[in-house]
Amino acid sequence: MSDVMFTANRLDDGVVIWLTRALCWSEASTQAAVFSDDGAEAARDAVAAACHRNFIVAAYEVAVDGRADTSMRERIRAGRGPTITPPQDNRPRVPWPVKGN
Amino acid sequence: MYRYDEFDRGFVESRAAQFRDQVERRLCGELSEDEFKPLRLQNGLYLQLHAYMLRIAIPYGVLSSDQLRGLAGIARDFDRGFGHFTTRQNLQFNWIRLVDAPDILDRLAAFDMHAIQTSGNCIRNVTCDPLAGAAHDEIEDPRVWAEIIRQWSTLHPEFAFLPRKFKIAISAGAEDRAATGFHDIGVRLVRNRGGETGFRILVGGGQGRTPPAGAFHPEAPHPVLSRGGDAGLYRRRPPCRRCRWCWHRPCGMMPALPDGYGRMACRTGCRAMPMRLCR
Repeated sequence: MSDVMFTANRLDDGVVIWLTRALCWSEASTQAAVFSDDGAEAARDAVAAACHRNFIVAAYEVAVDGRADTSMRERIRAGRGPTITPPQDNRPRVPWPVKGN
Repeated sequence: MYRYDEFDRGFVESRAAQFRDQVERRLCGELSEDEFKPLRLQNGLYLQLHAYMLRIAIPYGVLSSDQLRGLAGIARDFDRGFGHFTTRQNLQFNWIRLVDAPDILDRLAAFDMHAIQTSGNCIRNVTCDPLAGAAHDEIEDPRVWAEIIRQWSTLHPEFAFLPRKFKIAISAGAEDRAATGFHDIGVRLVRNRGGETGFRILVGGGQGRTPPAGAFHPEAPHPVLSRGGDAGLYRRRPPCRRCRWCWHRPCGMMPALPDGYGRMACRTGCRAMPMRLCR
């Protein structure tokens, strides 16, 4: 049985969250725990409970195969987006002319 | 551009109120995700990799300055200060919170916009030439026809639950700036030798990773679209997204069919079904 991580979106705002070692949910992917064997079963129970109490949605497990990185999908999710640099409006703010001045 | 009347405003506001109730029921657990998903999709709300995404319909790409300001306000108040205009002339906000979605729909309704039919297996927003009304090479303004198609296809009960999404584009220029060949139905305004305006209809195009080009259907006169209840919509589409349709003219390789019917055939061997042509 391979090692797994658990991730989901928070129901009310859709933010990507990860299951931690303490079976809590964190927005930081660095706190995501890797579970194996018995630990994974307990984690699955925690995921099911979180779904049941309408805290998370679209939960799934990510297989961790020992490589340094996970899939592109998970890297994008962990990066919190967007994957491009949004255009910046660097023009100086010019105040609107006020009538009478 | 089309101006909402009392009925339109009342309807859009009632849809927003309806969705607010649905969101509240989802958040309190009265609705499961499986029950809620088709409801949110019918209001343009997706759940994507990073967050919820709301797609807002901009009919044939036409916005008033008030509407654009309103959309900017939504981006500022509910998203990260920007949105994404799509190739099909919609606007997407990619970091929407579910709890904010009803308020956003209320805001949209306040300036005559909505997110209905921007998602799901229905007829989507009609796409038009972005230079419509200003292009030197256009035969006539295609937005008039786009508006007719929009009115006909909006909330049409027969096409609310299609097997797959369905996209229509219309262009009146010599240059195809609406990519009509890559829509389920592509409409090009053309003139015949007698100077009469008609349509060149392309059917069966698609987008995605392997976009097939639509095939040509002989020119049809104007009344086709004004009575467009059967304007080339196929009734079945294979569940597999890779499975593409091709179009056969009724007088071509296909067996004889009753007048007014053509046939959509699938290259991968799914059973084709006769469909009503524009007559």
